[in-house]
Amino acid sequence: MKHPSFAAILAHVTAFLKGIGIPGSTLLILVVQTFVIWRQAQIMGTQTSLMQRDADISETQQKLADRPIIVTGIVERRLLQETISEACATIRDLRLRVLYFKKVVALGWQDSISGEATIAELWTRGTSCQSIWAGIFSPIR
Amino acid sequence: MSVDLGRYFLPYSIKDRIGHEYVSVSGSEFWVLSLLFERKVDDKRYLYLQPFNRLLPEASPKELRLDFSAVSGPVATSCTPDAYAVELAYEFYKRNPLPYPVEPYNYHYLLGLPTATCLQTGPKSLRW
Repeated sequence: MKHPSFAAILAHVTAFLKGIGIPGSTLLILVVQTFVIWRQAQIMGTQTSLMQRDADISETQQKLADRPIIVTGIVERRLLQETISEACATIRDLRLRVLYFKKVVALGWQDSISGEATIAELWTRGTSCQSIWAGIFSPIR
Repeated sequence: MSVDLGRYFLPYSIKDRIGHEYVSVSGSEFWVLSLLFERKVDDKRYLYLQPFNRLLPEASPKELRLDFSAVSGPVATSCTPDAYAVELAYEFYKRNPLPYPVEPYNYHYLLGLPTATCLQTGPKSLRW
């Protein structure tokens, strides 16, 4: 079965409207208005989508700019403290290693490197950690 | 939260044939705190280095920061103490690379260095 064309439908609708007293120009205006409204709705949808994407990009950029602040310092003679306070970005798998270097006369630079100590799987905002150096303050004797 | 680092070290003792300790070069004692962490936002691993130095054996280590350091002398040999410390750390990581990609969190310039500059050109007491 052959489908009627758009022009044929329009001709039939025009004839019907003419029959009930509505002129063809009014129909044309209505069609154009409907098309314009539909197009405007489409543009608004696209704009909303773009704005959402912009907001997502801004949020990611803010997170990238918010680098964690790391503060380290000696608290006591045998205690070293490091604090990481983060703004937005979440830190995972925080590990600490201490590298010790000393130059010895006639032997040159010597080192003593610790293994990696896992401090936290997930480092939350404002958490601090104290690393106790007892016994390893001078690993080379 | 605290962590005792004692068990993560392998004690190292160096003595001469008659059991005497070797003399260390004054001011050449450095600690470098190496912090590895992963950020969720970009799924990258970062390496943060924080150097410390002790000038006298009985003193406490002091945090080395470029903004607290002052140097004078020929430009070709001018290096702040933190430069020595991080170059030594860099030499260690060059020989013992981490098994996964890591982005430097600070001291990014180290990546561009073919070799440790300050350890080549600094005062003789701190050179290789």
